[in-house]
Amino acid sequence: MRRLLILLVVGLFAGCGDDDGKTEVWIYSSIYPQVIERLEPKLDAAFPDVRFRWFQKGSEQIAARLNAEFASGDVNCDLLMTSDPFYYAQLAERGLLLPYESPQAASVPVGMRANDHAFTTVRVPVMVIAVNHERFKGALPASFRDLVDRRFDGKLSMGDPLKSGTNFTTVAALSRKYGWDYFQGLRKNDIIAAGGNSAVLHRLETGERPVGIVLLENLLPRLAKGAPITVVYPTDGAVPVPSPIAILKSSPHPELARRVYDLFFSTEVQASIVSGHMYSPLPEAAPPVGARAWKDVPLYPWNAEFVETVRKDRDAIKRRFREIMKGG
Amino acid sequence: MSRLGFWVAAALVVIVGILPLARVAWEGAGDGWWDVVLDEESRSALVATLKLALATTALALLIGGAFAWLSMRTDLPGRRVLRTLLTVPYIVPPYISAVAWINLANPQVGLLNVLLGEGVLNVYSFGGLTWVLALSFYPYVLLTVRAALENSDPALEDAARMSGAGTWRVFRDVSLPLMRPALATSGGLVFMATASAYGAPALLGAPARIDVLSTRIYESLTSDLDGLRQASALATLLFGFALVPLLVRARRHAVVSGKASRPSVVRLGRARFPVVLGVWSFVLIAVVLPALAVCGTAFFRIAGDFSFDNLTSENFNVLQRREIRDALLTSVGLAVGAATVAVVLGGLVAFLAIKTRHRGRGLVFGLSAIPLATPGTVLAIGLILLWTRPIDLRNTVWIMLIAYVAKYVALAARAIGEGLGTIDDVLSDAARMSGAGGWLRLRTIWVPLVLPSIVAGWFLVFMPSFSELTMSLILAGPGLDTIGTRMWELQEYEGPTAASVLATVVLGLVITSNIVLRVVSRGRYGI
Repeated sequence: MRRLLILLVVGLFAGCGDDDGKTEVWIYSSIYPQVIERLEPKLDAAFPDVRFRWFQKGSEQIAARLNAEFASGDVNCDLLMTSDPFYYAQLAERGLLLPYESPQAASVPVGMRANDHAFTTVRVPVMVIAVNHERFKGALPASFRDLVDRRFDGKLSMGDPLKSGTNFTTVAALSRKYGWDYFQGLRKNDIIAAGGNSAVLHRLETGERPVGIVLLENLLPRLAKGAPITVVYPTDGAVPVPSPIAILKSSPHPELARRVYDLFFSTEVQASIVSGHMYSPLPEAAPPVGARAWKDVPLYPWNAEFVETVRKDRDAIKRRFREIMKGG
Repeated sequence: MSRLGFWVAAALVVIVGILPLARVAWEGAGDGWWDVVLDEESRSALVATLKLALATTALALLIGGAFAWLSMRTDLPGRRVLRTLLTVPYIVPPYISAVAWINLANPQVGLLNVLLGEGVLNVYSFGGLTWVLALSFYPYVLLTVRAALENSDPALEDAARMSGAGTWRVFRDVSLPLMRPALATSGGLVFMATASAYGAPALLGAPARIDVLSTRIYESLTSDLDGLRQASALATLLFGFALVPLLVRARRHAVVSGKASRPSVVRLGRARFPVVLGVWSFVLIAVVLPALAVCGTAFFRIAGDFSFDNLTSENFNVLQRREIRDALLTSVGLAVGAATVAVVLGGLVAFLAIKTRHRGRGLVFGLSAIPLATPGTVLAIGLILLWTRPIDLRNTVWIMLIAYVAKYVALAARAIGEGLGTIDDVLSDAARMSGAGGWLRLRTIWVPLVLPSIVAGWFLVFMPSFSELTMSLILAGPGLDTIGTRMWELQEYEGPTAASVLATVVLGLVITSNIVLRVVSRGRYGI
């Protein structure tokens, strides 16, 4: 026990001691940890004088921490890379982001860029339908619309949009497309809306709920492991969750941050991101292994107007969803 | 000496646990406060939280109290093994235990339902949620009551028995009154911990359509830029939950006054068979099955497919990763540090509250519990707000240590307080009359006498700190990831089977170290 304490103390001072005169750049990111592992050497090679520090957690925890840092008046973060586009819209509206038109990001589709260049989509997770075909023997659903069919009664799960940003995006999109009746229908089929995408995957694999609305990136590594899962790209449009990168206005080294920003749109770094099972926003990039080509995925039409409306209706959307799920 | 001690303790409790919360409350103060608090949804969440906390407390008291008495005061066979086994639910992190119970008792394919018939058990219900939470928290009761019983002289029960009282009467008229203060205290802890629990209510509450305050708070903190205001208003409601246990006061009985006590037991007699059957069924259902559900998943490629082909050991490859081993070290160091600091600080607070007549001693004791009743997210946010300027502790191990101590110091203070409450002042008075100073008396009388409670308190803080998740996910900067955050990460990015490997390792480590500790100390220490 004493040895452990000593170890702790020594570790602390060792941790404080590596002040090697390098500039520190802080990136808050919810990206797949192994992608960061692959990115690190590339960043270090491109910026030998910079020490990159990653705060790598879920989008929700990062938002919570960042909100606290804003309230305390001292923001640590230089670059932000999480998944919830509406959070960025809110940050941009408050003037907390530093607009930057990266030449590298010129080919990112217009709908996936903020009008004033406050943020740009750097990766695109997509929400699809997954079926455990060993546990669900009926005809596969073809679209989100199909899920209200009674044959899926007691079979469905999704993440909780009140706690998970990607699921919120999905609910925002589907409620605009089909109205809230659609979610009444899902409720009638006794859908479980709980936890994040990993909870949906868990229910899918164990067969508790053999049909789920879930992120493709959670499915692909499990498919590679041989999980009996069929991915359905819904014909009425998979929901993209264009996940941005942005520079915080408070960043003490904006010039450096811009160069890092550029680097994230380089072919090499985009390839690392794709290896984390997500699509690249650059049209020429290859799809993730095991996934359809981007042009073959039917998509919910994403645009800046949609982002703006949802940002304003955020509370109302959550409230309505909660009411429906709580109701009989 | 005791004046100084009082002010040091008071200052530490306030700085560590109260200032960050005050800082959060300040963010939420203002016009919007009443709107949030009087909102229909807030009120229904408040009522649900209260109901859940009361039900969980009742169940935890029943389970913990019964097992404490049975394992300390009766001739129940296998008492020693049981003591360790019954603390296992506390070793399993609450969010893992919730997942285990989903595997066991979800209405569709829960393993127990496969045996009993589809839909017999439903973990997605008020009862299910209460059960899972009570299993996580009954060890507060078990350990606190057990330590108190360990301190009190079984001769009292002997006397009753020799006067002709049967087992039931001995229990009702002697043991139960002896246990009552410890039951009241630990019940209060369960009440507060339930009110602030997040993991199980988030996983089980949503399908059960039960909304509690802690999940509402998490929702507002983790999305909206303005969520802090709403969350802090809701959190102030939970501060009230910390005050409820203070209203419950039980009369203490000083039962250790220097006479040697010897082990003596109540014979269960005819009740023996049904009691043994009941105890071991509980162990099987509440301890062994969930532990198996956790460990079992670690050995399969795909979760939920229990065929032979699907067996694999490759999930354990994650243990070869450097970051996982680093996380283990960080967690062990932090948990040892937090438990030790909490025992010293909590011990001081308890000593002052119970053995001195300082004005304000009860207040400090009460304040030390408020963070326990506060969701971890709120406490973590408060710590970031507080420790940014002028002193910046973000991304240091210190802010995490402070977080763990703040959140769990009440567990140590309450457990040690119970031990102290059973000890008569006459021993210390006698030593003082013989010229022993305060420090000498502390070292030679108080600490040795309350050692069982100190050990219990240390373990009560160590375990949740070791696998803490909610606060760590917000506080753990680069290089400071813990077992909790790595487990979450595996679950999030690599699927259910990888995460359960870590849970299995945690379980194995803690149980093994406990057994080693017991053997090395020849059975004196250990849980």
